[in-house]
Amino acid sequence: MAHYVNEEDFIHWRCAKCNSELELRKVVVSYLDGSFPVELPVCKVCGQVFIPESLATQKMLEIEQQMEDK
Amino acid sequence: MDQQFMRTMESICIQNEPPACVTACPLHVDSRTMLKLVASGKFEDAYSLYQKNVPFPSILSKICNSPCLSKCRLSEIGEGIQIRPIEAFLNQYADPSFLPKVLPEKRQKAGIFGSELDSLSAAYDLRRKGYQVTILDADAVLAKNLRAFNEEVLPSVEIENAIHLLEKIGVKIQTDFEIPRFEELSRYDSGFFRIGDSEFQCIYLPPLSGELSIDSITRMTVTEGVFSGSASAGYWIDQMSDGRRAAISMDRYLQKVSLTASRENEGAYECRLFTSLKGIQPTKSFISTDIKRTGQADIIKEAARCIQCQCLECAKGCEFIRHYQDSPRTYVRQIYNNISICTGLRQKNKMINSCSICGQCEAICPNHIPFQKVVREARETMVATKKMPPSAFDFALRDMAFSNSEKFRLAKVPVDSKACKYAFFPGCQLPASNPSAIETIFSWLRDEMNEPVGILLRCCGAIADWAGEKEKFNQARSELLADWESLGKPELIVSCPTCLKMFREKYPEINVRSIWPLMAESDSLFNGKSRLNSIKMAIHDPCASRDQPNMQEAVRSLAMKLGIELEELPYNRELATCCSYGGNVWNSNPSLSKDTVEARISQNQSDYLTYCIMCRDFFLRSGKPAYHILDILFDPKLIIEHRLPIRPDYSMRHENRTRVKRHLLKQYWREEMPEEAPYEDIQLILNEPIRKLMEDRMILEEDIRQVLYHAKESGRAMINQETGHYLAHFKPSCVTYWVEYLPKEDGFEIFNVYSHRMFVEEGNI
Amino acid sequence: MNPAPGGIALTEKLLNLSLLQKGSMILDVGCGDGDACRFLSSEGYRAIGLDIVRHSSGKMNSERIQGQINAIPILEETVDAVLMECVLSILPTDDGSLTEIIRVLKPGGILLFSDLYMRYPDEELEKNRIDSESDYPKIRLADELLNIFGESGLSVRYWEDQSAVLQSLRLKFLWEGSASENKFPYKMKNIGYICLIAERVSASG
Repeated sequence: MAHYVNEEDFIHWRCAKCNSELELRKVVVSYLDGSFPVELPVCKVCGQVFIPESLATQKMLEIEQQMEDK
Repeated sequence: MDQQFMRTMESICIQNEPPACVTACPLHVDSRTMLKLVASGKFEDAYSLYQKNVPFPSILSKICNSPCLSKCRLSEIGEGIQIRPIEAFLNQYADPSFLPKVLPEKRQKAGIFGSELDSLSAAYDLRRKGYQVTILDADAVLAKNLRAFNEEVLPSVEIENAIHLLEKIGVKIQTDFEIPRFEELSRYDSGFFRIGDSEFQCIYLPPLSGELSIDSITRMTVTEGVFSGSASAGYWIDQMSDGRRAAISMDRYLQKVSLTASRENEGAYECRLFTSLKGIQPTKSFISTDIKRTGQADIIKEAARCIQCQCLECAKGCEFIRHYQDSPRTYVRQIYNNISICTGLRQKNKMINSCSICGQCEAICPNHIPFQKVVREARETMVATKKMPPSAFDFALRDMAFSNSEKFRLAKVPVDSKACKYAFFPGCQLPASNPSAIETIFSWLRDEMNEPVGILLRCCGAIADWAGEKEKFNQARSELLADWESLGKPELIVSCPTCLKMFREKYPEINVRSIWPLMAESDSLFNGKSRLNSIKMAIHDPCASRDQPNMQEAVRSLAMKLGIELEELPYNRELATCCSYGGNVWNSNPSLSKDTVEARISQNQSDYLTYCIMCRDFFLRSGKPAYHILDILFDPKLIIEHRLPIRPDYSMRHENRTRVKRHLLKQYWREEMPEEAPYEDIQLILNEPIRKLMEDRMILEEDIRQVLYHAKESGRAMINQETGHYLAHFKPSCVTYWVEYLPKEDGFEIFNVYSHRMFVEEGNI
Repeated sequence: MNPAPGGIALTEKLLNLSLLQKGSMILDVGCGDGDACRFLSSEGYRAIGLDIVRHSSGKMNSERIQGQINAIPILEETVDAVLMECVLSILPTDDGSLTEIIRVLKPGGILLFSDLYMRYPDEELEKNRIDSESDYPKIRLADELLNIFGESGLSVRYWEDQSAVLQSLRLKFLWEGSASENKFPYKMKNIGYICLIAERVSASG
């Protein structure tokens, strides 16, 4: 699967609750009745997801706008 | 919006109507474009355009009687454009080897009597369509009348070339035929006309003695298959047009299709395009009466005189129309297509959501096209069919939801009264921007009116109305009505022009009055106030004041009483310009909003005065010194010291509304506000760059507080090993917010904020 | 292998629209991993899955036969219903599949159909459809589908647009961006998903 998040984007972040590293894992993203599994950095222990600013403000925003435009 | 409505709308927008020179020309030569090309030296292209509409350009351009000249708009104030000499000039750019394309040969035969311009044009057109065409004339020397011209005016070689061209494309010529009288022509049972040894399915008979009656649309005589024209010999271009129109009919006749369908606008007709001549200086023609003295430079100058007639009156006022670069007629069709056939191009959704719905174009338009009605309905349809992009108006709608929440809404009669005759309704934005003004006005109103004055705090619902959210609007409306009834159905005193408009249109039950005439006539308001020393300001009428001249007058009167010297801005009064708050454009299209404001603030160098707080705030945001009339009334020091009013950011706007409620409750009713939410006492440390980021990304302090509260409760956050910063996220309703922070002694220091609408499923451990 | 758009929820909808009695025999053509068959069995129907691939990668708790849709190894007029989810658009035109389906359906038998379709005429889509072969799904206008069914001897009782189920597909293509463009070049906006119930009209011939 293509990399949507570079390792350098999340290498320095850890889960504060579990004090554990993040690993890439499939999580389901959904918007407007559509859903799709995507690999994102997630806490190995509790599953908390990490979404870097660049992903949210660029790719996700573009996709949201495209999905909205029916 | 049904198709009929759309067609009506389309038909009354005239922007796409041809200009006067085109409608006056029986051949509809596109002179406007041709002149534009000549003015920029593109002679070959200009010639091509001319030739497209004219069968024998080298002949017509020398002898045309120019019906366009008297119809050119410039002739109303000076000299019209002399188009014919320009066309004659262009002949040198003709391609000598030019041959028109001829369609594959058809079986049918057309007989064309005569050889003047009408017959020659008919022959030309029919032959190009592939028919077998024969010109029938008495004399071997054709076009006798044309040859009557002076050799200097129309060299006979041009006539020879024209005939030669016809022969080259396959037109047959038979001389020795007297042009018959109409009665002599009759069809055989076979459907043919017999002329000499030849048979023809249809005939063109020139109107020599002018007594042939023809159907004005089909150009057919009473004998089926015999066609003619109506022009007398003298008007050459009309002859050409005759020939052309007859050829259209004959082609259809031979194909056995309708002779009448889509025949409008053949020949000259009345121009429907409105072009303003305002500010146009009359000019004289550059073409000398002695044509030999006119050179290329003069030709170009003459072409450049053309004002390129357009009706873009609405575009002169509205940034939205300028931005999308088209006319309302096209938009109407695009909107209709988007709604019904839903080609769903992103631009069209965005376009529909980018109109201010302010009615300026309707006021400007010579035909008063109700474009705002079209847009409003379109948005309602989009919402009803679930096609409205959620992010378009979400932030604005949340603002309205806040105003109608416990944090702001209030309906109170004065203490010791069961009902009140009047109630002050300040709307949702003035309290957000200038909370102390609300308190001052309320206090003044209680003294000024001889009856008890209550308070009604809410959003009038305009935001939902603009967003096409019928249900949300209806809900806001019924809640407001319920509050109003609980106050004893008072007359509402309203300060916001938009609220006033809403009340008048959507709340017929409620009596309302504008506060501005009250203020203008009040003595007590001016007691002890010294007049300012003739401060010059340019007044901006908010778009909602468009149909309320009383309000417009009252504010001007108020301003003058305060010592302000007013200048008018262009597009004021009935033509008032929207600042982009209208239609929630600032939410759905921030870049257009910015352009709109910039266009408005650059229209005058003086400081601006207005009476809608959103207009003031948008001007301030783009760097224009702007004041609300209440700023001057209640805080004249601002103006004297030339300080600017403070424009609160989005978070502050919410804070301020709550502040108004809290203060009024305490001061007049000795009541406390209901409980605060648990996250409200979280302290935030925000520097300027973060505040700006929040503003740009439309993220509020209360959103940040909710994220931090949730992080504390759940213990869920990320930590950065290099910086030690925490990162937490939370989704209060539709949007997920991310906050990067550090807990400090006196609160949380915030380093970054961002958001997204997409939902991400997470583990639940 | 991907389940059809709309998943089991849509299969259930088709079932409800068809008013088939429990115990009816339903043939799922192009059954893939057998998700629909599993569901149908659990709802009390007798489900048979037909696929060109011999084995299912998941557990099939119902019958499975290997074969092609245009040569179904079943006797004529045997099944009460045929389930055809997102299959017709990826079959070659006129390959005999519909004829076979009708052959094995009892007279009065039901076709439960769902597939991609073209919501409104679109020049580019038309061009792609005509020029290309095999790989690209054949996206037809609703009217065309109705015609095809009619000519085969199927009377369409009901159809409705279910394009919302394509949202996940859209989301997938938007995320994968250029990677998936080659597989699906059509403008997503004009492509919809249709749900349809048809009945085999009484014995042919």
